[in-house]
Amino acid sequence: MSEQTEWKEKLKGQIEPLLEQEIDLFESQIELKRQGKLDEKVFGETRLRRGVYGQRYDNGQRHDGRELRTLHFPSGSLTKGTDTVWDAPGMQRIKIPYGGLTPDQLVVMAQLAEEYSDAILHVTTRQDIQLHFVHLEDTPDLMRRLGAVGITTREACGNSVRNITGCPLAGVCRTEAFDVTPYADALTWFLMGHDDIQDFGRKFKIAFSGCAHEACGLVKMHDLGYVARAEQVDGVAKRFFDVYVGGGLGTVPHQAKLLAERVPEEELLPQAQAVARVFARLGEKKNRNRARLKFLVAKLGIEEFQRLVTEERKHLPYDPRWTAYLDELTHLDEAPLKPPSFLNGASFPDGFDAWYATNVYFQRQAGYTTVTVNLPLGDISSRQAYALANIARRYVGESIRTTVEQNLVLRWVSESDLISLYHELRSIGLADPGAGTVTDITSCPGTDTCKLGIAASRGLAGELRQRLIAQSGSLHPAVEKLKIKISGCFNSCGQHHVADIGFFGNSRRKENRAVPHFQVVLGGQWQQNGGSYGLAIGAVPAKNIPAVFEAITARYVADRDGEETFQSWTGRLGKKEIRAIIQPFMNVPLFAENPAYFSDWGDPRPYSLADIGIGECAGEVVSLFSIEVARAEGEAFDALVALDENRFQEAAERAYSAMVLAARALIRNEFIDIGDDSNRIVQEFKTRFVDTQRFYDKYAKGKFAQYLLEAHHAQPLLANADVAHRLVEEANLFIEAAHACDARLAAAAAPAVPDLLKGLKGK
Amino acid sequence: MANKIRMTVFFEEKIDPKEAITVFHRWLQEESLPGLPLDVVDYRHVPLGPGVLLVGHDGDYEVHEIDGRSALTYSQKRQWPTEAKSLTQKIEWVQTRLRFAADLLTRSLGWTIDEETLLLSFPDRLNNPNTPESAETMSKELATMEPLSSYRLEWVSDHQEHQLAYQLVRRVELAKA
Ligand code: SF4
Repeated sequence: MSEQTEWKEKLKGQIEPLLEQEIDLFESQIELKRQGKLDEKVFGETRLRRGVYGQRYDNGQRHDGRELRTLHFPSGSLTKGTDTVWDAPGMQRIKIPYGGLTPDQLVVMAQLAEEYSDAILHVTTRQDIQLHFVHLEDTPDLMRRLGAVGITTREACGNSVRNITGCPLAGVCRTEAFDVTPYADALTWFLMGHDDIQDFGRKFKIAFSGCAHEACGLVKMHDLGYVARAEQVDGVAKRFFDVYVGGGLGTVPHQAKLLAERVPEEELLPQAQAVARVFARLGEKKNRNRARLKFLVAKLGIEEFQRLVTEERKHLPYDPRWTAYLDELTHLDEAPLKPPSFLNGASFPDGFDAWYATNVYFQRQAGYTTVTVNLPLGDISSRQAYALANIARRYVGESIRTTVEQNLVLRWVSESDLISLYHELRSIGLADPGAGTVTDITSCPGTDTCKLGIAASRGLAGELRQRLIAQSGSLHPAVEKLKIKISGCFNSCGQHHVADIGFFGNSRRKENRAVPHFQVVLGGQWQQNGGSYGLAIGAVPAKNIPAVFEAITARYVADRDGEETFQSWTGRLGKKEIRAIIQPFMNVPLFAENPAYFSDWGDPRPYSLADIGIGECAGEVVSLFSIEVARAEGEAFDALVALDENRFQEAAERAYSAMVLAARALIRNEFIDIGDDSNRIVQEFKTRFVDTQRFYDKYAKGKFAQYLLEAHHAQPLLANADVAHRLVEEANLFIEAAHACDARLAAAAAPAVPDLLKGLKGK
Repeated sequence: MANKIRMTVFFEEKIDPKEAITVFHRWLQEESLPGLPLDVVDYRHVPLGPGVLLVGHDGDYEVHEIDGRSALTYSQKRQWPTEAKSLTQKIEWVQTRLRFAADLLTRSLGWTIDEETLLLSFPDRLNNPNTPESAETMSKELATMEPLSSYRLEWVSDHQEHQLAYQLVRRVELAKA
């Protein structure tokens, strides 16, 4: 790991100190896991909470089309989580709050993609950026380099608050109530690492929209969603949000319910905190399939959920951060690089018209446009990203955003620059027209890299895209407007429920061979923030999907009543009729007649389900104590390293801090709001665990607790080698005692196990 | 020190990278390559991207297009063998891996390698930043290396954000010209 140490030194002081500490801690946890000193599940969840995710074949096996092969990685059977081999490449998810990026940040990600990944940046449907094929040991450096340009991967995966999304047009949109950017930003940083979001049974997704009628924020399919609303109150302009909860796609899609209307901006953060606390307290923890907030809201009913949130809000300890950001709402306002201007009759180059029609949006600020850079399947190469960053610097300054349709936008393009911008984008292959149209297909990674993928969503997306581009110009305008979204399985990461025509991967058998299929989902609504979900019509062999698409759209064009939308047409036609359209395509020919049906799009191997692994989307449900005590263990490990390198003062301080963290982990099980103040933690620890003797060991009695109490009493301590050595030893023993204490308490709280042998006695 | 090295050769003809997909999968089935190759990824939809990629634990192979020419690249990312310590040894190692794959492709698909131009790059910005000083030091070192002695070196880009890269043009061809 010598190379990693060097990046650490090189970037020292350039990373926000808390973030830097977190990354150092993660690096220590990697080392601890390598040495077998950190629990498998705890490390797995810790890794996920840093955005370090599993990838296909990371169980160390791959089906090569003939047989399942073991991949002989050098680290052998060493693992980095349940059934996840240490050396197997993984995915790094990078959080991009509300999609906001600067050219410098784009460049750094492009460099990281070149050095640690496959030179591709992948934009996700939640505005993150993902790098694939990343080695675990490269991740701390990767995070440091991101940290140096203000980006974090913290809580990008795992059971935590994921990237907060927002309209890419926020601030420039013609129909928004107001710019939601500073609110999305404030909520991102308020919740990141917050004590109240550490004990979720499942992930938690939040979105912001500037208005109710468009799709940009897709609020209705989120755990927590905000729709901006501006009103005059007593002649003064006031800002509110309509707040929605309990939406989500996945296997069982739910539309979010209205939690509260007209929530004033000063209530945004505390109310979100109250929702998080109710979810942490009452959400399902054991059965991950029922653990999303949507199930809790459905179980309790929205009225009861509203009541609980209101109650929780009343009892929240005051936090000045709730409203502090409101004084600086304009700090994210963008200043255009160039003065406004107009095209004014300039002659257009070849291809410009089509691009201009679909990829250029006229901002509400006259003379400015937002340009969509249409990324095929959400991918941009490092070389393209360098060039695009330079283009952005010259045309717009800082304003790049990712979109939920897996594209990028450049905001504040002065209108008369459009022609030269088009030329420059075209020179790097980034001037594809069709943004937001039928050719701009959204797809999740599917079997390319996802462990849960059943069918090749990207392969299918690529095939459909090519065919549709080949027909551009001859496509009916009603078909051009349609949205296609594809998921590799029922988990819906490709958001197929909110497409006009959606597909999700599944599999069927024929002649005892597996055949890749896609379920056809029709009639979802993209507008109204993902206002309603499509319905599954039937499963079609993957190779027949292009033909099915043609049949459905041909019938739509022929049948539609005036300007009837696809959604109303499917509603009018009814499921039975629609099923009749796809029925002829549902059969699979015999293998001998057409073996192509038995492999997937873009993958010549005979199709097999053997590569499906155990998903990490949810992360393991790991107790709050386990996650928090892992931080103490990392700190104790760093203390040990400092001791080894004769940095005695640091070793002693870290050892003390490790004990405080372990004590805090115990306290947080019963007092979530303990905070970070060491005096308070030690006092609470004494009252709750020492005075009650709950921390007492059967043999050592109160000895281990004394280690913390004495070290605390001796603060600030001046440490020599002996003191440091003793404290490091004590910290490790204290952590062990904390584990034992947690286990005792958990056993005492568990329901009694019936003595199953009892009835057998004497038989 | 160079921890990551990429080397590229070009094909004489314009080839369809799609053909590489099946070949790469077959290589995996038949364990034709040294090292630990893992999977095939199709990035043909991304201009200026890795094309068709055979991703491995130690190194990756790409069949792609650079400035309109079809190319094969090998990148060693990690897991250098113990015998590859010096820069020369590392470059020789990368060249051997690249040559091996190029020969296999030539045999499988009949593609022919253009021996006149190579690309060599060092995508490790910690040890090999793309600065004029670092580029000069590296060029001097490369110029003395036996395997590269018949080539003239050109620094590809002085843009500090890019990776340190050289185009190598065979001297014989220059002499002919
Ligand atoms: S929808 Fe399925 S295949 Fe696609 S990314 Fe999600 S879990 Fe993976």
